[in-house]
Formats: sequence, structure tokens, C-alpha cells
Amino acid sequence: MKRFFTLLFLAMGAVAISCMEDEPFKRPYEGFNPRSLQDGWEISTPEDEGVNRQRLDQVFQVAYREDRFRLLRSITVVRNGKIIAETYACDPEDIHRIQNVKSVTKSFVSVVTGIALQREVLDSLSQPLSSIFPECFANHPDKKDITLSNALTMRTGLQYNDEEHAYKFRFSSNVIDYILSSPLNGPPDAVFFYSDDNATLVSYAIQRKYGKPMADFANEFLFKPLGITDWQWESLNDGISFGGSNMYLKPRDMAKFGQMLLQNGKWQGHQIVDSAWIAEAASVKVQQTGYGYYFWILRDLGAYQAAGHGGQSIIVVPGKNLVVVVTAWPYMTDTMWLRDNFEGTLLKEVIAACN
Amino acid sequence: MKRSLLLLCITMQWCGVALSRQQSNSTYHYLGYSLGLMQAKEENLIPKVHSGATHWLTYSLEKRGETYHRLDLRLGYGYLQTAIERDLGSPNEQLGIAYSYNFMVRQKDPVAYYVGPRVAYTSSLTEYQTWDEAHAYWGTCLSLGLSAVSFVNLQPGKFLAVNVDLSLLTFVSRPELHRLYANERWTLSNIVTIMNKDFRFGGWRRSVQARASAEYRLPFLGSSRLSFSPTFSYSKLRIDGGNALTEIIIAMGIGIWL
Repeated sequence: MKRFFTLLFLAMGAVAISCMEDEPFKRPYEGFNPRSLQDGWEISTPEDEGVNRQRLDQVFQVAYREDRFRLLRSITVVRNGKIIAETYACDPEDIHRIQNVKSVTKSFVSVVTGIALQREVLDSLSQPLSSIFPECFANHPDKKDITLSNALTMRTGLQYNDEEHAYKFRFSSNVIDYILSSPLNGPPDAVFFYSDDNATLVSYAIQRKYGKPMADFANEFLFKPLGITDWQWESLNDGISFGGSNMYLKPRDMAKFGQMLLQNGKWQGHQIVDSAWIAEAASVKVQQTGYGYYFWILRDLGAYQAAGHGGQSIIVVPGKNLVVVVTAWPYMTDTMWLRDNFEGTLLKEVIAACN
Repeated sequence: MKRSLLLLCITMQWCGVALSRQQSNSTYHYLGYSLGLMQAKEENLIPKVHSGATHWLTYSLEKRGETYHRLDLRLGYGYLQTAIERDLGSPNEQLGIAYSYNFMVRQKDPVAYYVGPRVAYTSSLTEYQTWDEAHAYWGTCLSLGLSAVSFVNLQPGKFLAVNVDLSLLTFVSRPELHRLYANERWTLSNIVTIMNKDFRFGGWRRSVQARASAEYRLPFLGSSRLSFSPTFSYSKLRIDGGNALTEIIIAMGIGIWL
């Protein structure tokens, strides 16, 4: 009997120590040397690209050390078209993984809109959406004056409740009708109201004119030229590409997008989107919020940004020939967001490290 | 879905037939409550440990003689958080049905040993509302395995039941790695449906479930017995080409055998 109980207690002890360890969100910092992959990227060093290594290293150390960056997944720094620093804080294999870039998606919609205009799929920004899909406005005549430009600057006037609305509209069999059934905050062009709906209206406009979902258009005229092959983009119930969020990309492919923006729409000699569109999209259209066409303009830093929930970010700094990409675990509440933290402190340091 | 329901029906039918053949044995019913600690790692979402309290209600039916039969029904609820979360967390719901049919393999006073097959259906649903408000994350497992039970008579009326269960063959339902198509419909019928679809062979190394308990029973009111049972359960569910859901529960149960 004694032996039995001894075995029993040993078993219970084994059980107790078999619990999973509470792993930290970040691994220990091991430097920022980028890996060489056959993915269209040139690799370089901070020294060769005129960047102070020590200052850059400080940035990475802070990002690893400090709790406010606890949800960090990756940082990629591109200077002069070459990756000079890169880290994957959670798992080195994240370099190969697509992840949800959240509202960074909207900035892709912006560029896709520019391509659609350039290719005359869309006529002009002043075009009312009701001229593209008039049947959707039959029950919403008060919204027939909303233009593409209004949608691109978050000034359709359509009210938006992120929690309830975003949940319900995904179950709608007619997403556009559901979006247009939202009450107006004011007339179009008057009020800035950030919402996923506006970008979905743009997505549908492109779909109607192109004949296929916007994701297909983006694949043909944006992803393929950039060499982005591993991507996903959420479709809504009725097949419309969700313009507001939920595109999945690898961090290095996000950086390709940023580098293409930096190069005024050009990637490896190929003009993907007119440089005039980039200039327009990345200039302030809404003064009080510093918003362009689905880009946030960081006036103090001489930069502009594609930003997504939880700290997803593509930051382009033309004056320094610099692109910075940050990804993070997208947490629900803003208590753990990286966005303001990163722009407010570390991004400044990265910029300052560039000669 | 149809196949899983069919398998479940066959299992329940088997339970019924087996129990009806053993009418000569004494039958006991157990009602109990367990409180414990749970850890879960859902690698389809974020490969970090979520921990927290869990508790569940159990109903069991037991027949013991030359053979030992046991039917367990379990309904549980837990609330889990990662180490960095302070406010919000992720609710977890658990359902378990298991039946074991054990044969006495050895009896040497004061211990009787039983071994036999066990079939189980377990389902765990977690809403990681802080990490992905749109989707349900689940691990549902139909398993066939072995159950080993030892009864130790300590004194007249008191005894210890030590039980170890191990799955050998598993069929697992897990969510797809990338689910791009909008929110789940959080209705009971939809959640039950999605949690019981696309069962796939769990493989020998990919998926395993194990459970160990040591139950101490002592006389209580009349012929009833009071039961205290520390329990440990481990579950790792992964399908080919997918990521694992790992769950560990350590709990203490209290209940009554009638």
C-alpha cells in the first residue's frame, strides 16, 4: 500500500511539473541582421546605407526590452531600397508567415484605386458612387451624391459603429445596401468619420467596373508586379473584397509596398501606379486629422503611414529614402497598441539614425 | 458532421446496451463539481499560454462487479488570460461525454484492477475576444482508447479509485488555419455545427488525450458516499497540416455518489 501511495504522489508531482511554461511574448534580442532570401530583396548593412548602427541597435533593444512593445512581432527597416535591419521578436519563422495587416488594407485600396483610375477602370474621383452602382441607391436617395473622393477621405457622412455595425454587416447578403442604410452624420464632404465601410464602397466600385472582386484586380496589377504571391484578402458574404481590413501579408511584402510608394509608384523599373497618385494619396486631404487617401500623414516626421489596428504599420519617409514596417499581435483594446508608442519615440530614433 | 453524429450515436447505443446487460450489478450515480486551473495554447491564433480558472459539473453513472462500466457527462466553463492581460480574457466552454467498459484483470485484496476500452467525445470552445473577435476556436475530439481503474479498499466503506485514461485513436475537428470569411455566427446551432464538422484522423503523435484521477470516497449520509477527486487531464489536438490546441487542466472535484 505504501508503495502504491508513493507512486501516486510521484505521479501527482509529475503532473504538477508538466504544466506549460508561461512563455514570454518576445524572445531575447539577438541583433537585427536580415536574412538573405530569394524574395526580390537586396540585403545591406546600416554602415553601407548611411545609418548609424549603434543608434539603430538602441531602437531594437528598446523595442525588445520595454513592456509597451510587448506585442511586437516584427520590425523591418529598408534604406535606399535595401533591407538593412530586421527582427522577428516572437518567432523567426514569422518571416515566412502571412498575417492580418488590419487597416493597412485601406492603404492598399488607395493604391488599387489609383491603378484603376490610371487604367480607366474608374473615370474620376468626383464620380458619384450612385453612377457606378445606381441600383444600390434606389432605397437611399439621400446618399446619391457620395463620391469616390468622399469615400477615400472618410467623408461620406455615413455613420459607423465599429462593434455592432462591423459585426452585422458581415452577415448581410447585400453588404452595400447594409452600408448605405446607415444614417448620415452630415452631408458628404463635410465630416470626417473613419470607417471600414468607406473603403468597402470603393472596393465595390472597382469590382463593378472591373467585373471581378477588387482582390483579383489587386492581384493582377499590384501583387504580381511586386512579386507578392502569398497573400489573402477577406471576402464578404456577397463576394466583395473587404476594403476596410483583413488582408494577410508577410512583413517583407508589406515593405515592398512601402518601397514602391517611396519610389513614386515604381518597382524594379515597372511603373505600377502613377507617381501623381502617390503624391495625391499621401498628401493631407483632411486637415484636422492629417489624412490623405487612406494614408495618415505624419507631418512632423515628414512621413506618411499605412496603419492598422494593433500596431501594424508601413511608414514611408521620403526625405530619408526610408521605409519602416512594424507588425504586432493585434490586441482588441488600445491599451497594448504599439502605434502611438512607436511613432512617438522609436520611429524618430530610426529617422535620426539616418544620415 | 453526419459521420461524427453517427459515430456518437453508435457510441451511445453501445453504452446503453452494455449498461442494460449489467443489471445485476449495483448502479451508482454521481453528481459533482470541480474547480481547477486550466492552461490552453491555441497555435492557430497566438502560440502563447492562456491560463485561468475553470470549473465544471459532472454527472457519472457507474456499475461495478466483475466488470466496471462508467459513463461520464461533463459541462465546464473557464476564463483564460495570457500573462500580459489584466482586464479582459477569453471564455472557454467544455463538453465531455465518455464511456468505459472495463474488465477485472486482477483482484488481490485490497486492490481490484480493471482495464478496458473507452470511447469519448470532448469539445472545447474558446472565444479569444481580445485577440480575434471574429472567430471561434475549438478542438473537438472523438476518441477510442484505454481505461485503467484500480479500486483500493482502505477501510470498510472507504476506498480509493485511481483512474488513468489514454486515447489511442482520435478523430479531430479543428478550425481552418486562415478563416477569412467574416465573423462566426454566434448562434448555438451554428457553433455546434462548425465544432463538429470535418473530422479528420488525429494520428498517433499529433493528437492525444490523457486523464488521471485519484478519487477518495468515504461514507456520507445513508448509503451515499462523499467523493474528493484530484484530476489531471491533458489534451493535444492537431490535424495534418494544422496547428495544435494544447490544454492542461488540474482540478479538485467534490461530489456525491448516490
